[in-house]
Amino acid sequence: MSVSGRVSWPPEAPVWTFLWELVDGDSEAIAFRDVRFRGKKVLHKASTPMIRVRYDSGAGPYKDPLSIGNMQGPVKVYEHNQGGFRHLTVESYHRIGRYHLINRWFFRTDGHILPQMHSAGLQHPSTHQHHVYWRFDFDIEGAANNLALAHLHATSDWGYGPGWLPLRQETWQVTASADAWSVINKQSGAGYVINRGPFDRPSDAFEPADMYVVAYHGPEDLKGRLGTAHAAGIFAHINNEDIDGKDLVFWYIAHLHHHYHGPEFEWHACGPLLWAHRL
Amino acid sequence: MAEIVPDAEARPPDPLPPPGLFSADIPNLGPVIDPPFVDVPDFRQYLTPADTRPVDYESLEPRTGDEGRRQAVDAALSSDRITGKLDGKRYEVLEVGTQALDRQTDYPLVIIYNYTDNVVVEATIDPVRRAVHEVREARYQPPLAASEQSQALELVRDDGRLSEAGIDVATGVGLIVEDVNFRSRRYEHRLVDLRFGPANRYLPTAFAIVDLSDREVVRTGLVAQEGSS
Repeated sequence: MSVSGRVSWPPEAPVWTFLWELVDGDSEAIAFRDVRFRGKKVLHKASTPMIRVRYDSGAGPYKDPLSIGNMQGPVKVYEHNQGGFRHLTVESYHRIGRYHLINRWFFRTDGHILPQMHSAGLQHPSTHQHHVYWRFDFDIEGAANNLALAHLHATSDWGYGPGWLPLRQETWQVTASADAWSVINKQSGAGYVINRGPFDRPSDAFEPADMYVVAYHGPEDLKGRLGTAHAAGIFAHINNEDIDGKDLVFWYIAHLHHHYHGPEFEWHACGPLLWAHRL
Repeated sequence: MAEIVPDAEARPPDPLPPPGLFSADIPNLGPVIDPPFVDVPDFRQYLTPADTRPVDYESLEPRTGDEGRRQAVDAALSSDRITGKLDGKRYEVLEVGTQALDRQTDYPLVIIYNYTDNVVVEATIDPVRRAVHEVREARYQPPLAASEQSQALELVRDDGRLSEAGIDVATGVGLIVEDVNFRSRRYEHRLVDLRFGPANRYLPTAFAIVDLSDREVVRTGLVAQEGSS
């Protein structure tokens, strides 16, 4: 049975408002819709439609569907305080095969968003790599006039600060060429800077990309049905379409490496850091 | 690289900050493993209890409830556009999900697996007309349905090899795997990778690969319990 809720937080003076849902038959974990920070729209939708796992032993690979069918217990919505910051936290717990997965999102009072995927358990006793895909359908102050940028290892200024290169067409990148990305509203400059998480390892041949940015098209929102265990399939959405000043979708991929040494305590985490800028 | 001209017309009021400007403590709320593993150390006692409190939210009705899902399946299975593709085939409705048409519109999506031809038939349903909006055939492997996992476990039970080895077949949990060798007779078949063993053990104790297209167990085996306490 699908579950859905609307949150305004903190209750005394809301800075975050959004709708969350897990829909029967879709496998994109919690989908956050119409996300607003201090009344400004920042995301049309954010979700986690894909996890792909490759084992060195040759077992699998697997594509793990985060769905209401494998969710254990209810979606939890709670406040968490740490380091002087208040977080609105929304999470779902899934068991898929032998895996235990926590899909946890922190929304901080200063606009910071921290999506985290935690995992434990093994399908097979072997070193393996999880590739976790977050799909951010940004609408920074609306769907139009959005722009994606990559921060290059360069001092050139293309008009958005040293090293920030506007991405005017659909593309994909690795951190060897860019160490951060941003999505902003071109007029106001408001938006998000997207840093790689501290636990996110380098990409590999199984998933060469660290990010993809594509134009929004409704039928391309496949809610977990995109790709296979062997290929994410996002390349199929890249055809050099103009995304400068358009409605765009940013995919972030975390690569989580689990080096198997035998039975041991393990609880892995990965995920990006999204910093609010001028919001 | 083509020359990139500074965006003078749309220059934002302030430059973007360098990526290293910010740092954050990643909140660590500890592991969630239920039931906990009994054969590996547990360090949760060293973590400071998290300072949390529940947040009230408004529960919303699902956009497509159980009745709407049933109607979507009925509409799909009564449509000539669907039945024409499934006549004489062995098939099963795996799921009813949703398909985005645009930013505001989602239609119910009935996902049917045709085991005879190993093809997925997807029917997008117009919920107002209660009629098929679009039909699509695709070769991909949807997530394992609960009914399929039960079928796979039943085949392993009938096979008998794991039961004879003392494995509790009822503990099996599965994920879809794909044989991508186009010369293989299992190519594009609906294959399930089942792992068995107590849920509170770190490692599975046995496995089975089951072909739901051919309704047979491909192979079974035990998983080495190296170093397990």
